[in-house]
Amino acid sequence: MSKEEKKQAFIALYDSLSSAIFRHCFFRLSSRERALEISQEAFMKVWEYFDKGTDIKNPSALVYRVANNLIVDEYRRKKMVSLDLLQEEGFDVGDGEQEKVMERMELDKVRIAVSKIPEKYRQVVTLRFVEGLSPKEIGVIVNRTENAVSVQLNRAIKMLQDILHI
Amino acid sequence: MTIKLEDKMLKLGQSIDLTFDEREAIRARLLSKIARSERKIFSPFSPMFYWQSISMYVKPQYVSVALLVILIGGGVSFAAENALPGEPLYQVKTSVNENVLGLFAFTPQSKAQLHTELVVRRLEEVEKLAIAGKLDATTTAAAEVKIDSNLAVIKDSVKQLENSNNSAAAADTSSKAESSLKVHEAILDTLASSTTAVNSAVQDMAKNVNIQATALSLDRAGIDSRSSSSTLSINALITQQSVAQDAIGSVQDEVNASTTGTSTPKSVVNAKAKLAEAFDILKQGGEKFNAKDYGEAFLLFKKAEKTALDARAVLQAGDVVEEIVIPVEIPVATSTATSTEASVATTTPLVISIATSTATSTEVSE
Repeated sequence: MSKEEKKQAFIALYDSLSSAIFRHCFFRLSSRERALEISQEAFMKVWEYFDKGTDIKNPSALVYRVANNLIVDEYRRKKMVSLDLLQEEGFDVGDGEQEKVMERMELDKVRIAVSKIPEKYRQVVTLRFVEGLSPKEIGVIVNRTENAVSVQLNRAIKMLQDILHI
Repeated sequence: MTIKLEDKMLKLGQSIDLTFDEREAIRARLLSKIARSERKIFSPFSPMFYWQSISMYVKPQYVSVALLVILIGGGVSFAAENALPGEPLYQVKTSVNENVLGLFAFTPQSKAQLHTELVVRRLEEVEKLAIAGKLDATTTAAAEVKIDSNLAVIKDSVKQLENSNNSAAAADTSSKAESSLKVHEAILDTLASSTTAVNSAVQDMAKNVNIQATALSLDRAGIDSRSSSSTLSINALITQQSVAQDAIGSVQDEVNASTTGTSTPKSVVNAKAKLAEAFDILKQGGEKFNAKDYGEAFLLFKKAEKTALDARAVLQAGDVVEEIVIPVEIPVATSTATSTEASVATTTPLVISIATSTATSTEVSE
């Protein structure tokens, strides 16, 4: 693949995945600024793989995996501000004009519940329900078998149901 | 139940997205990185660095001449590469070899990379001398001067990168220099604590390297802060500001306590002048802090603290200071081309206050 072809392929990958990766980072980090930075860093690192000519079988999975590693580093580096705190401070997730107040409240409850479950469950539940990836695709990203991902998903759902009393 | 939860999460996901500006900003930075990667930067100590520089900036017909010049001088230069301070070929290493390297560093990034490697060289020399038990304060001071000069070039290059809207490269360049300093700070710390190389010069060097690394770290924080508006921890800077303020405050109290009598001793006058200087430096640090020039602010806060401590030393010297008047000849040169007056030499008395017992500072005044 020529340099120009690599560049085109990479930019196409960015265009198709930028929203999903940002969303994924945002859910895991609870900070819009950090989510932006980590998303950008993830794509930069992936470009380095492209540039080196590494054989990449699944570029999407690679971006998710790199973003995951960066998020884990971030967790190790400092204790993140909890979503609850952001909520108390009046943190706004999305476009308030488009959502009904009741629906927003429901969504906020879910968001806070997700922030309360352990990180490894938050990771799979975000990939499954926010990104809409299959357990098999999640398995590639988190380096686990499809079965192991399904088990984690079931446990995550149970935890969320307990927190939300549903 | 699960489906309902899934629906809620999907809706939640849909409500979160990049804005158009955010998406385009990241895309622009990625394209900038791609453009940079198209021209690989080689180490200044790699032959490819020369080849790339020669081929880019020298006309093709002169390339062979340039290579010949390099090859002829290569013998002595090569022999000088491992010379240490105090050895005959050391001057060739620093004044010839390293100056030649500078001729091939054109871009801010390559300049910063070169000077980072020169800083590493100076520190490695200090470490080798420390291990051999040959390190003394003069060598350390000379190395510190060179390192400070290299760091000034690095900081200047970083500023140029940032001013050209290349914040990512600016932060990356600063970060590389900072990492190099931290690695050698750890080595120097280990050397200073080892029984085989007990040397206060090593400790001083480690301390200085730590200060410079912290300054670079704060510079990088400033770049990040300016480029992404993110809130970054600047606790180290604020702490240093408080330390400087406390030092000035406590010395001020001591000065006030010493001026209760009717006549003011000369040591108090000198200490007051030093303290006023410390105030000024602290103020300058505050201005740099407000301008988000964190690295410079940190260095100024450190300097303010040191100047306040110097003021205390002057004060403590106090009554045990003797004034010795030494006649010193200061030649005053006048231009023969524009004036018919001959050059004259005037004798100006120089008063040197020397603390005879506890003094730690020497004041020189006319």
